[in-house]
Amino acid sequence: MTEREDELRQAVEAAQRFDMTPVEEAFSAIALSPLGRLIETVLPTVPESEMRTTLQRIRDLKSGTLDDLFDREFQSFLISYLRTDLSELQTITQVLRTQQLVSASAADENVQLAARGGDTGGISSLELQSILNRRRFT
Amino acid sequence: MSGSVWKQRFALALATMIETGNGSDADLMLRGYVSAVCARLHMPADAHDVLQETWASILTMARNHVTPPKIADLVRTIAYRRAVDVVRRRERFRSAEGAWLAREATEAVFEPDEVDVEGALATLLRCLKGENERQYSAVTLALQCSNHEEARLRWESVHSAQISPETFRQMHSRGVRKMRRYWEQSND
Repeated sequence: MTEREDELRQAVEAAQRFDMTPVEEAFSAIALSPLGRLIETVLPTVPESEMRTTLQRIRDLKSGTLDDLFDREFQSFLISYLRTDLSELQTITQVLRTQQLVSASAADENVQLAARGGDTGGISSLELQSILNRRRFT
Repeated sequence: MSGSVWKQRFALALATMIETGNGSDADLMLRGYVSAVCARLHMPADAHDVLQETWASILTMARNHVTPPKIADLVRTIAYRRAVDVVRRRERFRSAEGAWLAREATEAVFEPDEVDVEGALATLLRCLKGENERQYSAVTLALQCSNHEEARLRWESVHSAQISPETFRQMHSRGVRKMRRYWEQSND
């Protein structure tokens, strides 16, 4: 056995003493990623289909954000890992992007108030009026 | 297996691990990789520590939701950095211990009648035993054994408990620090 082989053998013996159980448990305990949380909000509206299964698997990966879906390397990884294709991935990306835009708008109370207009009267109408005035005179 | 193929496969194995909790494939791949890194750096005996630390770094990245291909891309850097950390820590530990022993020896040479090194050491060990039995045991076993791993194994058999190399190292270094403090206080 050469010196190099002996070093490798010693390294393998040392590494073999490592117990993987706590690491596996720690990985299982990782919480949903921002991407996974976004998928959670979309899932109730998606009917049973291939896309739903793919969405669930992306959620279970507990990795990444919506922006990562635009990363070429992550896209290619998801295609190989989920055995899907680019068009389905692009559809999923669009669905999630729309959901994010919708939930971001829903969170913005002023937009809702402005949209309801006359119902709320008062502040939001005045705000709209002042914006219109500013646009008119500038 | 070329580097990029290895990275792709590791990313897939890592994703399986994050998704299902089954890390056997990822562990097998990382184990082989770290073993080769340690053999290349001529530190085969440290492969166990480097593997542990590399997994800890990967886990931190996964907790921050870094994607598997990015983690796989960084594995090489992580493994080398953790190997360097292990070497640096060991060297720091050795130099700290060496400095302490050198000071003891110097004081013994210059003040042979006034300082009884063995007696002083025994007193310090007694103080430590009164304060923390487990640290005392770690320090005395490290003094008796030729290396830390051997001391750790003996510690496990004495206390009938499991202890990781990192915890044992911390316990030992805390014990040594306490003894140094007793020594400094006694000289004030």
